[in-house]
Amino acid sequence: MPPEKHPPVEMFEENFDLHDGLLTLKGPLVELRRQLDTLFREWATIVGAVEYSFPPVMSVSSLASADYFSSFPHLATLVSRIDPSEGSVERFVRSARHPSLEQIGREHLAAARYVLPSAACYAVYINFRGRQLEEDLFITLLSPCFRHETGYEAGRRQWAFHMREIVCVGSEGSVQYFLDTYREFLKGKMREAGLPFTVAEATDPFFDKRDPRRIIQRLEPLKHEFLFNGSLAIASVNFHRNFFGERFRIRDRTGMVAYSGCVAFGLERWLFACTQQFGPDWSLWPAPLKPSPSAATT
Amino acid sequence: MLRGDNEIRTKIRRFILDHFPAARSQPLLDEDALLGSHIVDSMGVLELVTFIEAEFGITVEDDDLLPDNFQSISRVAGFVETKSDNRPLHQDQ
Repeated sequence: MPPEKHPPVEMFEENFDLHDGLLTLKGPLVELRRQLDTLFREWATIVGAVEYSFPPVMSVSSLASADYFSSFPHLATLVSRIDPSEGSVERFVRSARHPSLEQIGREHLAAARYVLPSAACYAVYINFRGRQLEEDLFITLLSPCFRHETGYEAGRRQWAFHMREIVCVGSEGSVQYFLDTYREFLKGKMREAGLPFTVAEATDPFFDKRDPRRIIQRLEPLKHEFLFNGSLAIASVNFHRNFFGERFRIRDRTGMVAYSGCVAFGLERWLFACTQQFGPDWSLWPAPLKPSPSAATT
Repeated sequence: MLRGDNEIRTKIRRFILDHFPAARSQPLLDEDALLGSHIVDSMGVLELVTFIEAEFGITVEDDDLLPDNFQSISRVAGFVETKSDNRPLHQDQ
């Protein structure tokens, strides 16, 4: 018998706070999110992915190499600092001495040289820039991600959220095989778990409708989203062709420009979907959505 | 002015041969896959769209960006012909 459905609102109302797109979780939701991430890390072991931890910010120059600021300027969250030049910090301190300070004017800020990522896997290509790979790379990473949106809904769309990715960089055949494997694996797991889903071709939210990468995404099935209840994308399988290999001068073991692809999981969306479908008690969740005891302790 | 299917194909073929080196590595057939076989690369697809708009006086809408319309020279030519046929006629035409 399928488990009784628990309205997510009830679950979330008790355990979250959303303000300006920033989500705070407490108690059981934090633990459930941790368990989900453990599960995805376990799924990454299928390809023997090595876990990496990258810096939480990326340089403007690195992301510019991937046309980031023409493709996704509307998503970008820039990192600045108080202008450190002579006298500027003192001027700022004088202006900021009141407890109701809500924003810091641009006259006090240094130019932004860093960006908070809107997707996890950029860090991989930046890290391997200019390298020739000795073998295909399989990497998994968890990253906080930031996307300015026109509206926010707890568990579904936040300014700041967490993304677990499994990334493959290597030959075209290896990347295609990696993506095919995970596409089928995810279908199997979600079906087995009884999580209602559909798979749909999709495009990334490019700023310009004429962005060449958007056009190619429309003409070739490069991105597939797993939609919970037909509308909420909780995972995606993405083929980048050799775009990042070219832009970051990464070569595969044969010396050809490397191809890349990734599988991405939005943790807060999974949390929303699973609590809606299976309730807040993790012990009642179906077995395919529970990490093995050994994975949970690593 | 209506153009023949052959003329459209010839112009598209010439453009592809002139702009994409991968197209010159072997004989380019009308049915060859342009994207799947990497004859036209990620960045080149915009060039192709821009070319057919300028050359044939059509507008490629977002909904026209479908694999069926850009799969091969034949498909692109067929798409151009359909768009040309459906182009609204102005009073002076």
